[in-house]
Amino acid sequence: MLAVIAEPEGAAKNLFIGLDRYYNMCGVKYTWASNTSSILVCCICMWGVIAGCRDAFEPMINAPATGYLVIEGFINSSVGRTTIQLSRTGQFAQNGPGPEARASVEIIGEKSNSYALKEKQPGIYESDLLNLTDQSCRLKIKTFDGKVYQSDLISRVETPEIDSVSWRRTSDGLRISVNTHDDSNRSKYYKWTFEETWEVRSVFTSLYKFVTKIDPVTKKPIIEAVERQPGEEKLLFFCWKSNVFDGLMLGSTAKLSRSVITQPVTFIPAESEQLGVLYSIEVEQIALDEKGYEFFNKLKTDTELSGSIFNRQPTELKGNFQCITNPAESVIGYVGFSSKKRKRIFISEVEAQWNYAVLCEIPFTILPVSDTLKKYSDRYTPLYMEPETQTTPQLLFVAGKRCVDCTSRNASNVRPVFWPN
Amino acid sequence: MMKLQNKSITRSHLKVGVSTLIILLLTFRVSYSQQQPLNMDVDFKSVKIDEFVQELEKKSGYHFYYNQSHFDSLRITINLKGSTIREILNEAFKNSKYQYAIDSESNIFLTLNTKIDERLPLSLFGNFSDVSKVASKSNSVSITTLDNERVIPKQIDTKAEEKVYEVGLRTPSILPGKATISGYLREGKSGEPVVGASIFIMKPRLGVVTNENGYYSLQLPKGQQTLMVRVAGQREISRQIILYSDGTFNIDLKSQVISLKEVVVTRKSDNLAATQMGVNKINIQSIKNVPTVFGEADILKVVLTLPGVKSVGEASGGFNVRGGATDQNLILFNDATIYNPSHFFGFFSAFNPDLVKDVELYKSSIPAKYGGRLSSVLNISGREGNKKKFTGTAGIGLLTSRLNIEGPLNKDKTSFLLGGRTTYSDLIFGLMPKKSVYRNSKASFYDVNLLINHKFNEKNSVSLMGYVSDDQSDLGTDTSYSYANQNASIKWQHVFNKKLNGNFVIGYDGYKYNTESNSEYDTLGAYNLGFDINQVNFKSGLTYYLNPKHTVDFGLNSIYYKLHPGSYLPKGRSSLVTPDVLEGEQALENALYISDNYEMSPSLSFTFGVRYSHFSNLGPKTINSYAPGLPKEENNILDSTAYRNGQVSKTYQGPEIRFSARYVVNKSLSIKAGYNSLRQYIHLLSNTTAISPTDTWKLSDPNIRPQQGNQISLGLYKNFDSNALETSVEVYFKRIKNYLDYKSGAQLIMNHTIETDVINTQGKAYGAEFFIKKTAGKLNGWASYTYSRTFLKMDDPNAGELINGGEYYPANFDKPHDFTVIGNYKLSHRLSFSSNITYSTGRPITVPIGLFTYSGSLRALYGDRNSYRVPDYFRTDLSLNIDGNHKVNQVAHNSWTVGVYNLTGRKNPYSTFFTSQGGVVKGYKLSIFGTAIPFVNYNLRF
Repeated sequence: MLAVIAEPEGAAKNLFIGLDRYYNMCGVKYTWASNTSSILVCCICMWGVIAGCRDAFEPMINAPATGYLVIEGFINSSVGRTTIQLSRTGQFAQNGPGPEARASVEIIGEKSNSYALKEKQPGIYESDLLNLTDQSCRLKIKTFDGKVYQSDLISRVETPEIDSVSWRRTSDGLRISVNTHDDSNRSKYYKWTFEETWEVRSVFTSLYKFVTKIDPVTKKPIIEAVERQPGEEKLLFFCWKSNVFDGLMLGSTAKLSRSVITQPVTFIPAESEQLGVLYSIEVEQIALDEKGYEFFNKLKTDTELSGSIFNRQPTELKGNFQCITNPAESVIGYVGFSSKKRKRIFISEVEAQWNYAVLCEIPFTILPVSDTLKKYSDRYTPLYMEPETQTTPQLLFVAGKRCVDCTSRNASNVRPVFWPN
Repeated sequence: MMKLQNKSITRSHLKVGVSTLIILLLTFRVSYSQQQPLNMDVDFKSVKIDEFVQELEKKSGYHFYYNQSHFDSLRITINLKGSTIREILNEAFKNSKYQYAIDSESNIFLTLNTKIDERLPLSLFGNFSDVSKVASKSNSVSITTLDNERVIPKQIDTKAEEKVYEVGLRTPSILPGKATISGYLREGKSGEPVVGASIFIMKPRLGVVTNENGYYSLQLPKGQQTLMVRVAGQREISRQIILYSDGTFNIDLKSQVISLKEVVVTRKSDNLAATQMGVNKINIQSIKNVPTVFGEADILKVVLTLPGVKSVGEASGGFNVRGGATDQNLILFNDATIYNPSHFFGFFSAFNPDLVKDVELYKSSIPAKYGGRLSSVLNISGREGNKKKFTGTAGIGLLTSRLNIEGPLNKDKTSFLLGGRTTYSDLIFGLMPKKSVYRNSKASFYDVNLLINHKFNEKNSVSLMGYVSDDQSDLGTDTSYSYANQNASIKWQHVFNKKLNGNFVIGYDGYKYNTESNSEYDTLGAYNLGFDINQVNFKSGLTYYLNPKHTVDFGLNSIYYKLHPGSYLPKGRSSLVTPDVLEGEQALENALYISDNYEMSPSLSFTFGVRYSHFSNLGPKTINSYAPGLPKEENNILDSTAYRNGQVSKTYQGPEIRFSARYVVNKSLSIKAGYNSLRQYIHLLSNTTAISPTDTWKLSDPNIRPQQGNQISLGLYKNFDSNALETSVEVYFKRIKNYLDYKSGAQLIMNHTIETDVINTQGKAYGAEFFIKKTAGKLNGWASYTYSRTFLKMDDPNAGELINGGEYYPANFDKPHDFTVIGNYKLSHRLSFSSNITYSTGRPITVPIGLFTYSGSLRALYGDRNSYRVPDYFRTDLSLNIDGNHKVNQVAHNSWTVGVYNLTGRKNPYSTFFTSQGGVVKGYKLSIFGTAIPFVNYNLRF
């Protein structure tokens, strides 16, 4: 998602984004976070005259194995656990770097009090429940191969509470923003993430299901429609989907006279499934110090926003770690000393005046005999049985799976714990 | 009609075709003609045909026509007394295959093998342009003009050429010694000065080039002289003069009726004879013939086709000359410095092609009168308004339209030229589908030029110039961008005396940009970001024609700079933005120069110039000083000094050497060498590959040293086929000192301590440029191949982190192989094809060498800077130029240009980027013009 950043560089960045969009105006609306693939999207753009193109590009790089240590996480400044993840950079061509296991990680407070983190899973290190009172601390890491890495002294930054998560309906969708402020004016840099969850519902209720049995006479498999257990139909009717934001969303109030910020978080396009029933978003906010902000901003510029005609050179990514045993070695990562603040809101279809519909075929009847059922069992789900009458035989109503079984829509039927009603 | 009886010594060439399909090329001469038969005494001993003909023409008054190449091997030895012309010719060509024919108009035709029928119609040679196919009755000979324009000077003004002008105070007899002839060379129709034309005599070879006002001054032996004038892209013309004493002689060139434009690139009018090297001059006709993406002639895009000029890609506003950065080009438009020469971020150049006369690019021998930038000078000369009558031009293209009017305000004294250009793209956006995000986009630009010339008298003239360009766009985002150039100047041209003339210019040049946020969601952070640069110039340039061997140029240039490096202000009432205004910057740059063009001998000449530049950064300004030997970082600030208004905070000064030499080996071969050093006190702060509209300029101050460059170059120039084919090879080596690069993640906008984010970088560049140009014929154009490399090195020990470990790395625009062909083929006088073919190595990019996971997504880990390249670049453009009819008296002349840009539709990658999407890293290449783009343009002259 595009973030409007309240600082002058933001002006330039917006421009970069803007132009990129010009060159990629592909007749279809091109959205930044689209997952549409590496398929070449080529298009008539800018005034319908310039044709700009974006092609997949895979350079044949003969790169050296890097294997730099990557450190991610926050030292929790409030009561709680601190989680630090260690991994290594990997080859570009290969898929994914690995976790760094069997390291020893400790937090060293300003008074030289030290708290060790335990490896919970490979590469994930967690502290006990702590209540750090130090104003500053360091993180020290000793990897299994004996190298020692240490952070600069990290000062405590207090994260203000989120004032509100607000939304606004526009003609083309719904825009969600997070609002925060700090009366002390000490917090100037923020990083946000969010997780959104929404309910999806089937259109028809399925009281029957197909079951495969062995015919006791012919000893061949046959299909029958049988009634479901009470309550089982709900598992097909109510589902939830969720999405975790995996980008970098940053904001700064450094240029403002007061630390007040409204950050657009996400935009839900009109007629999207997300607001079909009920939608929820939990925004997580963390305050950064200036160096941390610079680190994440650089990371964002280099890895998320670099496509435009005014290309900026990718730059060296320097965090707040050094390798003590080999100062020339590159280390990636910035660890802050702060806390996370969260806020969740719900938005219902009615509140949002949403208009979403799943298009479904009208249910129809079939004869509940095995051969017929076999033909339909792949793509259809039974709804209910119309009993025999004087003029008609017993008939089974069926409908398309997508309209009956919500799990077929990439959703989970496990109700999230926070879900109301 | 050229009457052969007239006294004239015009030289011309005429092509004739013989029906036997033998094509005879005849050289034709005309001299004093006397009708009565003559008995002559002749005595020749083994003479060539030329001498033989000359002698006979002098004695007899007959005119000879012949093709010199057929007579190369002929040596004539005869001794006759009291013989007629026929007796002499019979004797001379006895026992040879040579034939002669004499017509009733005293013309003698010498031919090989085939004899011309003497009863051919007289009118045949009376009027060349009317000659078409003429069949003779008896013999099988007919004569056809095939290509008379190759033969006859296009702008021949026969009456003027035949007339003998008397210059100076008439004396009964010619006194011995020399006298100075001076005056202006002008277009006869519009009264515009003709710049850079050679004016010379053949024997002894003495010549001079007209200056920017069309003025020349030449010292010649007294007596009868044939003054030759050679104008870029045109054939020579001549004037007969009798020089009695010092005097003025103005030459008006008679404009031709619309002729098909030729692609002509001329190296300073005569690539062999000029002392300077590394100079390309292109006239507007050539520029108009090069196909461009939207069909409108684009000066900067044509400059990019010249050898040694590169850019990072199609959408970049700047260009790189011989390894220099984009801010190292001095772009002058009618003496005004243009800071941003492009519209819409580089897609269009900011110069209206209808108002431009020609463009000169100096990339090696930069004259001493220019300075302040390291790599090149791009001098764009505008036209002057027509002093005789009101005329105009108009053009309609897909995206832009332009209208220009010009005419006399006071006939022959004062003229004006007003031109404007604008887009109607806002309209086009509005026509787009309702759902398109671009429907509400805005993008528009315009530029306006005004030029007024007034001639007080032969010695004084004044011109006023105004130029405004403006760009507005929001690109469909909630931020609007605008930028503008503003220039105004007044120029006085004065002739002090025959030997000394000068130009004095006072001008203002400005550039500004403004960026505003218009977001309705973020009114708290709504801002207005601005930058501007202003300079007031004074330039004086004088030329002193010391003697025929020495021409001395000298002068003083002064610039007062005033910059507002940035202001970041709240916009709207609810904005919480803290107003932040960077302290202004002031400086004074002065330069004194003198250069001497010394013609040591006809074959050897030198230009030696020195420019002494002096730069002072002035208060009021607070300047930080940093602990020596430590990186310039905010925590290493020792002290900060507040300088008072006008107080000098730092002075930089030094001489710049401009030397070039030329040795003419023979008539078609010359060798040149040059050495140049330059200094630059103003820098563009940009860490993007292309010039972006939020880039700002910065003056040198105690913490930012001036950039310095020097270049050594050598060139070889050879012409073939009587200068119809020009070839050259130039090699160069260049060093750049204190070029500015930036630390990782440097913030360039609104930075109060910008010196902490810049790193001095050293550069070296070398290359070889091969150039071949065909100037005449149906097919003309040029081809160039350049091999060049540009490397940068950041080895400042105080910089902290070093790029690529302090080793040399290729610059963004380092494209080793570059091959360009520009061709124009005339199908007829109304129809021509133009094409442009370009190939170059892909430019360097920085690519990921690894991956890592951070913030929930795989992300790219970048390797060494510029260690990889995008795929090679290749593009072909084609256009067809159709001229309306050429009738002189119609109200308006029109022409069409239709064509296709990027004919092959190749997707040339402009840039690449690697972005994290859906948890994985995807690499993309972005091409700007991914398909073939057709265009059409309609032009009107009235």
